[in-house]
Amino acid sequence: MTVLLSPRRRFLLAGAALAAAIIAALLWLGSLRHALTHFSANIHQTCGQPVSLRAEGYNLLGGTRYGTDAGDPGDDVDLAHLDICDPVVQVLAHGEERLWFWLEVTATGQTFPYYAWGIPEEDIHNPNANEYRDPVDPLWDYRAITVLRYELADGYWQTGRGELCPLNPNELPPINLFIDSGSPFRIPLGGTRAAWVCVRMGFGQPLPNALVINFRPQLTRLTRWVDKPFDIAEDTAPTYTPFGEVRRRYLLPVLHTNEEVCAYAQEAHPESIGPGGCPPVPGMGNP
Amino acid sequence: MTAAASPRRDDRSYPWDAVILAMLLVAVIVVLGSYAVDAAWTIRWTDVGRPVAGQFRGTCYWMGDARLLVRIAGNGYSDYDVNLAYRHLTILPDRSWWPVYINLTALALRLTGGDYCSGWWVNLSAMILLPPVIQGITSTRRPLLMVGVALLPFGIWLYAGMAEGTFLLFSGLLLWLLLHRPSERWGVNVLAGIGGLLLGVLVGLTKPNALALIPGFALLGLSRTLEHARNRAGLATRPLLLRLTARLLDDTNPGWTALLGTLGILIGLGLWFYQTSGYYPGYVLMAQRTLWYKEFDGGNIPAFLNYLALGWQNFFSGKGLPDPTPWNMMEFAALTMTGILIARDLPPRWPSDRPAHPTAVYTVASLLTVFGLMFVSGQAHSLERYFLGNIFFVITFLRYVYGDADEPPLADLPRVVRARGPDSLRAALRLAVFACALALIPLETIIMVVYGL
Repeated sequence: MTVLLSPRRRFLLAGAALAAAIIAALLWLGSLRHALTHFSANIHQTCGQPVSLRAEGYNLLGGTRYGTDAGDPGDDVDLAHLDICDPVVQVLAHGEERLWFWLEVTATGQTFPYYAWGIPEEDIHNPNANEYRDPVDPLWDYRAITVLRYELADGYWQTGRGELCPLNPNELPPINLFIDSGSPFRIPLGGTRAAWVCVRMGFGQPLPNALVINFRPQLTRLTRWVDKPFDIAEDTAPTYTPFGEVRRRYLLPVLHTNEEVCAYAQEAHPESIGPGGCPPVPGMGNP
Repeated sequence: MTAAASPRRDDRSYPWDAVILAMLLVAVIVVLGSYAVDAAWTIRWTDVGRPVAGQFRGTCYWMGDARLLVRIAGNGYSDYDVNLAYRHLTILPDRSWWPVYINLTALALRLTGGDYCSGWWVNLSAMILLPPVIQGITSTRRPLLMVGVALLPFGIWLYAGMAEGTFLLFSGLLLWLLLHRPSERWGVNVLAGIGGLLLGVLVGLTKPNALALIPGFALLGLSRTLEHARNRAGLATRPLLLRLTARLLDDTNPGWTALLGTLGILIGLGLWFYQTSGYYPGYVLMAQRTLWYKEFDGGNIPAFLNYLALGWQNFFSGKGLPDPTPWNMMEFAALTMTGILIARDLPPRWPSDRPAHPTAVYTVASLLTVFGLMFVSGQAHSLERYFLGNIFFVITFLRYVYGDADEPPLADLPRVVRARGPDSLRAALRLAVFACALALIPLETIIMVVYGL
């Protein structure tokens, strides 16, 4: 033992090797344990409580272990806060049903677009690998809002997608729309865009009893998109009275004409009404 | 006396002239070789009616993983593909490419303002730095031996914007460090040991090929430890066992450096496996296992042999060269060449009047590990890249073809063959391996370009 403990002998490397072996073993064993489901939705629940839209951060170290629990968002980018309020169902005279709601998006971050480089036919026009490494404001257009049927029937999820209401000014009330043209737009960092969104199922179909609106701006690699579920009605399908009226037990307020929708919008968000104001609601002021 | 002392002093001095000449020649060969490969790609694209595609250099963009590596370096690691489509866990993720080379390329992207050939510049820099490392490992004074690193079999991969050159550089530095002469000063050994650990981590984070280096470095450490133990000087007094144990455990044992280098590789690989396994246990390993097709039934010897013979069988039976056959040929060439290097000291030995230079056991272990990985996984593609990027293969090849200090250099081999002496057979074999290596570079270029790989 005297020899082993002699100050002439040092055993730093043996100790370092032992420590390195333990570290290596822990890392290899640790790699057999996964941390989280990376991609999921942030579900918006209540008006006034905005939820976060998140995208991949800039990652040159290959990390996948951030965000190990629900309260830990990790190193993703907080891209925007979305709030959804004041939903209302519009039932038109010819039976078409629309869902209106107020969407407020506050841009809180920028996204790394990571777009395209690596596809030869596109790179030919832009052979610059550096092009997409700087963050940009995400792009919003009609594809950023998806309408999904969200109901079970006979134990199966029903398929079907809805759409944004066509941008025909003659068919819509004169209120500000979040998607107001076919052109994409960006919300600058720190800015807010708030306006109405109108969706329908298309092809004359009624709204389902429940649907989910999915928010997913373009050119972004989202890790947490935003879902907003809406309960529209209780009945499994519309029924018709002997007089041809549609009878559904709606769970949201119901309006009928565009004038009513405009008045509703004016009451909820006066700033969302166009310069001409709302047209008078038929019958109002005519005793 | 002066005349006699001078050569000895020259022998001990560092061969700056040879090393600098070798670095220059390697730079020239890699640049010219790259442009030759690029020209082949351009001709190919023009031939198939897409001349516009020729605006990208093949070695920077079309070849292998080059553009993927630059894309990751520019954009960072992502779970999406370039179309922003949803990914599935079993689709090859970005994380299948290890991070060191990618971060060096990201740095080059910054320096070049976004040049899509940034990866190629990183590789070229690594290749230029390789000759002094080769010199350090082999102690050679022959420039050609150092230049030979740019003319290796399957060497086309060393001209591309890919990680092979960088991996060779780092693993070469580690091997050089591990072969250092042990010092009686503990501080020097401790520094070497910690350096080995850090270099090992770097190697483990550069390419998954580091897996095949682990047995080689581990055996190197064991052999150096045994050599250290056999030196019984200072162990005459009793108790011998206690003193021997202390001697093996203390910092003068050069085996620790190799062991720490090996552990460093394990830590580097472990870091990457841990870092990338957030979604799924052993994510990268799972993705690699599920992504690639299997060329043969893994672990099945007849299937393995049948696979190896398939290419030649088709060729000789007149069936032509179906799509995968060139790869069979490349893999067959890799196996043959590696087999020669492993078995070169088997009897009968040449030359008979000189001791043979056996292939070190640790080298054989590393090369056999590549075979083992291939055999167990049932996946043989890129086998030639695994050998090309293996520092043990590279050093063995260079010493075999260009000769150690006491062997005739490459330029003398034709004369040795013509002399028909006892050395002739071995000299002819060395020349044949060299010619085969040179021929494989354009052959692989043709395969690469024709099959768009």
